[in-house]
Amino acid sequence: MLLKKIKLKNFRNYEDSAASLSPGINIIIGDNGAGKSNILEAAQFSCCGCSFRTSREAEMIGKGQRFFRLEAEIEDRGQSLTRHISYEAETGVRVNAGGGPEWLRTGSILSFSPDDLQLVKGPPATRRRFLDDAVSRRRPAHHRRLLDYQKVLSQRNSFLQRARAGLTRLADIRPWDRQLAALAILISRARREMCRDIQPHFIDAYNGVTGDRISLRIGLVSQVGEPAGEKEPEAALVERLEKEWSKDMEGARTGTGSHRDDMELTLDGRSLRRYGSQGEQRTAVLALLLAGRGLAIASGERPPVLLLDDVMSELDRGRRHRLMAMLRHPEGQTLITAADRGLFLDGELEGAAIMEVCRGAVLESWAESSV
Amino acid sequence: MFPEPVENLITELARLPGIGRRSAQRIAFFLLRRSREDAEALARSIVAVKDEITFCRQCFNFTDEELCIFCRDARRDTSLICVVEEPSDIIPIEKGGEYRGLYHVLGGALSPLDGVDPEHLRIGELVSRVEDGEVTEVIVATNPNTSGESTAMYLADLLREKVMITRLASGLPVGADLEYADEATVSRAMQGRREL
Repeated sequence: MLLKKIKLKNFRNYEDSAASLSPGINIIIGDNGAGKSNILEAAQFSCCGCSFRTSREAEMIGKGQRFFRLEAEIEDRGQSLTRHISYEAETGVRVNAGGGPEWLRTGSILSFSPDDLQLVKGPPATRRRFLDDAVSRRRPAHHRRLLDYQKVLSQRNSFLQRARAGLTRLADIRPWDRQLAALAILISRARREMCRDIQPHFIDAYNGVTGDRISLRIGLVSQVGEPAGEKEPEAALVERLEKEWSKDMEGARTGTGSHRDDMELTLDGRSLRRYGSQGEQRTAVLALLLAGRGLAIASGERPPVLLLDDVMSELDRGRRHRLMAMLRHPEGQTLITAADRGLFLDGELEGAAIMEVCRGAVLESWAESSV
Repeated sequence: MFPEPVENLITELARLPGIGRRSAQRIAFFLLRRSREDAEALARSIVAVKDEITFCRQCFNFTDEELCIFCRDARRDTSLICVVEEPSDIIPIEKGGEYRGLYHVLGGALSPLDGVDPEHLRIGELVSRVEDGEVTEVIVATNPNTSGESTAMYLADLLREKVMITRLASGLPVGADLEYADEATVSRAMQGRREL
């Protein structure tokens, strides 16, 4: 997918602006507070309906304004679509015109900012989300399965609560166990396959940025479908759930299932989440996003748009250079913010579109011609 | 805004499913323009369904007699029971014209979140009907969502030893283009494919 144009109205410090984007690398240059990251946020919000900075729409309304509106022109597999999204403070009403297909919301955008190490350090749900978005890109039914799983899980927990209160017989939980198990097997299997498929791309991306040759692994930590090669994984899971009935009933929550999965990253055999340095964790997050896109491109799926917020100032010259080379290959759309053009060497900008922003205005944009 | 009787009518109409306040107003004004006879006919028919309609003693479909039109129809195949969640689920099956057996209306589907346990549904009555002996197959036609599936599994566990129990197939809608089917439906259809 391709973001062709974003129009911003009363969005953060933009009163009325438009940013045209090119298919490859887009560099947004401006001083601190000029509004570089706001363009990335607008890109993400207009596609996914969420922001990497806040969960409160009101924060995104420009000073003294009552509403904001975003419009994104998107091209996908030769088709154009326009998405409008607006929010009004007074009524709290969010209008989502055009709707847009499901895949837009589940993983059309991958965003990175150096302060956000949630993907490595945060709770397992963040990593499950990353895997699920990647799975949904190749298999849209996965998203639906997750919704069903969530429903079955809340029904089961609610059942446990009722059973604890003596309102119903515990043994009648079986239909929920079986549905939970059937969905869990499919979900965790898809996540495990995703870990396996994304791993080589992750290793390439990590070592590509650092220039090292470090051994890295991505694995799924899951109670579902383990040990591998079990004859009837679904029956085994149903059995396990049944064994834990009384324990589950005590807390009125389900102790086993795909909702406890986690993605584990190891660097030279150590857990990156527990023992990784700040720098290693930061590089790993960046590498995961590059890997997510690399895999999508390699498998002929919709490559997500990559948003890199202020990543350049965090990297030394060698890493910057290698990152820029990797962003050109394989080709995909990237938006990068940077405070200073001097962060780039001339050759690194070849083919990139450069946009300058200043106090809430998009000043000019031009494509760097090949020399 | 309107005289009290009109307000009352609008409020009552707006409580109907699928009717918002604006539609309720339109219906109210429509009724105001109609003759007294028309209005009375409508009022009487509403009261009549409350007075005369009850649940079928055997299958719990709506009926104005002791048995519903299906249960008292001697031409129907009494060895087949099709289990549905609500009386309205019978309509599409009858429209299909394929099914000639009887029905059993559960009155909902299992949903702990809404406080619906097996004893809140007419499951015991279904078991009694099966145990009476004439039934050879129970077709479960609960909705293909998580609640409907759980209900189907629960019934299967309960009846498997007593009678053949089957589930409606789910898959692609007839006459539709594969291209426009949603992914969940296609993957279901793929899982439930059969040999030609």
